[in-house]
Amino acid sequence: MMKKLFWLCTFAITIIACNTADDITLEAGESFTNTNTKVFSIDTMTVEFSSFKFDSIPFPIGDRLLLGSYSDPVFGKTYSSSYLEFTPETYDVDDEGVFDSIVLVMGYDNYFYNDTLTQMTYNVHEVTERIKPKNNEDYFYNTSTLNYDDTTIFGSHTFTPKPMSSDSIRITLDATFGQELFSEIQDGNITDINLFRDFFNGITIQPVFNDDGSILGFSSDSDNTYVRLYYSVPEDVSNDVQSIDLILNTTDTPETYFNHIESDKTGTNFENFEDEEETYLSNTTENHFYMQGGIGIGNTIRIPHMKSLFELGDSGTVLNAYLKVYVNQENYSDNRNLSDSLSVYIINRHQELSQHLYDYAGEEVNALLTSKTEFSETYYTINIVTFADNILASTIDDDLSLCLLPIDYETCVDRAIFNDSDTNEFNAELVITYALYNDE
Amino acid sequence: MPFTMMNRLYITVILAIACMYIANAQTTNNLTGSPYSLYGLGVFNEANLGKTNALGKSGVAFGSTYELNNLNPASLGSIFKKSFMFDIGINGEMDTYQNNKSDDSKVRTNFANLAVAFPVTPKSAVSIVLTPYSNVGYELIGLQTNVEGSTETYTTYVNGSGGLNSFKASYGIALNKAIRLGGSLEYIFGAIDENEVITYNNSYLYIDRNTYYKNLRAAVGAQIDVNEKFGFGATVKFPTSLHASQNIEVSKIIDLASITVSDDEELEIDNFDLPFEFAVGFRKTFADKFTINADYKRSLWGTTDQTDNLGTFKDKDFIGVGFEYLKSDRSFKYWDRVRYRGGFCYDNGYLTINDETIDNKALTLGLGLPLSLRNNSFINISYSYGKRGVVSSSLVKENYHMVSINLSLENMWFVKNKIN
Repeated sequence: MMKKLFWLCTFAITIIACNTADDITLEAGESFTNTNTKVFSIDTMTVEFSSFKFDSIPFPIGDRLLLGSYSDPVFGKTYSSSYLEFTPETYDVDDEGVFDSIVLVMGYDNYFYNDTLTQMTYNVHEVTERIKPKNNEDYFYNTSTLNYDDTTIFGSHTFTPKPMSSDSIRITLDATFGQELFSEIQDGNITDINLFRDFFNGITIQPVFNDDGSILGFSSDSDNTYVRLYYSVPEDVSNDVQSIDLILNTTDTPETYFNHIESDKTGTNFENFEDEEETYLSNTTENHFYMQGGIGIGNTIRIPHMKSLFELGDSGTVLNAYLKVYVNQENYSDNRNLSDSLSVYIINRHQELSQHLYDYAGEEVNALLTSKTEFSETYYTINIVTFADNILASTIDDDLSLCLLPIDYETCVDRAIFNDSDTNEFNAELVITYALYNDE
Repeated sequence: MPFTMMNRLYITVILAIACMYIANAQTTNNLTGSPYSLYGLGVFNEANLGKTNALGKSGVAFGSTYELNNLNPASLGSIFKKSFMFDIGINGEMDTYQNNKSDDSKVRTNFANLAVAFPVTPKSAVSIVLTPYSNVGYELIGLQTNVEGSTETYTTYVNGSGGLNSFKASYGIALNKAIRLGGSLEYIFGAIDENEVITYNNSYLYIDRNTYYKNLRAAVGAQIDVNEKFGFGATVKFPTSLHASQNIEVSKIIDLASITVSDDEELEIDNFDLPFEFAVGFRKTFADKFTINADYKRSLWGTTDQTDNLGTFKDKDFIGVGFEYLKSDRSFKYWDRVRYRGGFCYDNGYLTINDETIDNKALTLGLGLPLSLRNNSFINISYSYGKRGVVSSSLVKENYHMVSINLSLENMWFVKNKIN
């Protein structure tokens, strides 16, 4: 091993040095050596693409809040609401204090999808049951939902989103509720979280379903997102307004807030996507395969005949393997943009994500976007050497596939429409470089 | 009895040192820098003991009376009965290579031989000789090859090192004044290390092949003296098959990380066959001052039925001619006792590559500098200038300058022993 390292170092130095010093080496003619190593490039291997819908996606604690609604020409109506338990940071207020107002502040986290020029309306309602996962689980799912009082609007806000240029949105909440909460705390009736919970469950923010605007990301951090109860103390000479904050619990389980993300797939290719065990081959979906975060449209990229590489010869190894998947220009826009990189997962035959695809350096492999506008070419490139080696080394048929998803796919609604390998142009390509090193 | 405890100790120590030296030399240094050494077992060592390096690398007809002759075991029959002979040599070689793309040169030095010989009976003697048998030392860079199924190319870097050693025990006996016979058994062993690195985009494939060879080889020889000034010699080396085993370690560097692809040890691979070889030669001295000699040797590589990846084995012919001038070995003038030598040799190679043979020709010059009047101890210096191969697209022409220095000692330690 040491010897090998030494030699590789020597080799590296030789490469570096050989431009300046024609050392002890010779550039020989092609047929001079007896090396019998051969390198092949294979780009004809079959790749199967399909799409499916995840049954549900667990909500990662600490992640962003997603709110909004938009209609996608391919994916249908996409809608996200949030259920939130805010609890007081303190139960100590001045006995002389007088309630002033109560507001919900939602801090932008700069994520948005689709058109932010359209006005949005968010309605706040009171949740009528404890905000905690069902069946004593620790986590909510994108499919989770809770009962709320939809007849009473607890607060409402109509606004034009400015996710990049503004800090937050402010929604004034029902003053009656604020006065009542203030009094209960002031009178010493609510002194801890359990007494608070007996008094109030939490809120849900329901964007108007029929709005066709954007889906926005908000921070769950208590510095950016909170309910603030303002009050004044008449005898205080400074006459400053004082406040107490109610914040989200972003660290402890069971979770007490989540996003509910749904879509109306009527009339789309996904209309029948129900069970995640059922995948739909790309030739049944217009030679495309799909990805959508939040909702959970996933895909499988399967290379069924990888082991046919062994037919080239016994002693061989993959030197390079990459997959290029194209996105047609009509399938993305400034509003529904493509992110620079996507996560690549390994997925089993039951469409269960097992883990990220890692490269040999131990880094997560991402699909990287290249956009060559002069050729109208837009594609993602994925380094799949480790995946290829994994399949080649497996003794049992694991039937593993790759799955492309947006980074943070649980809490974003990015989507993409990829071409399979049988479209008219911009077909997906798999190129494997395989070296035979001991061919007799 | 000349073979005393003291001498036994000397021999043991010398052989131990030599073994270490050879082992060390094999791993850290390559005598040859010849790109041709990537064929077969490498470049066969032509340097020998004593004076034959300067005499066109020939001399099967010479006895071992004055200097140990390793070319013919029968020569041992002529060792004086109280003589103890010792020979150690080093080589230095400067090579320049040229093909129709580039040229390069390099200098290397290495151990050349270690030998002892001593009589066992008044009419017979044995020798033990340790020499490199073949040397591998090549490095080829930047070989561009097409990736099959693509317009791209990959680059290959190849280097090889190591070589085989010979440990030879010989016995020679004088049947009478005119006829000597001898035989030898040679243990040929060693390892050749080949490294290959393929680079393609940012991926590297590294192949390390270590091939181990070993077996015994027998040879016989005869010498006939017509008179003191005229004699013939002949040798026959029998074919043998060197047993080969190989360790192959393959790894690749992808994403800047090193991954072991395979690591196989002691794989059985094809044996390497050494052919039947015979040599004949004569020596003739004129006017007590001039000696000429010539050898012809044929190595029947064609009959071994072996193929290299690119080359085909063929029979090899060797011709060597030598010439020596000595004014007088009894003179009190030092330069009168110096032996002046010259010669040339030619062989047509044992490989055909792309229908071209790799022939080899060399001019040799040398001096035999006596160390003492009382015994046959010399420093032998020889220089040879040679050319191997041709300039073409696939082959390389190699020019080499080789200097070898041999310390050939006779009796020195015995003289001291006697005084003690």
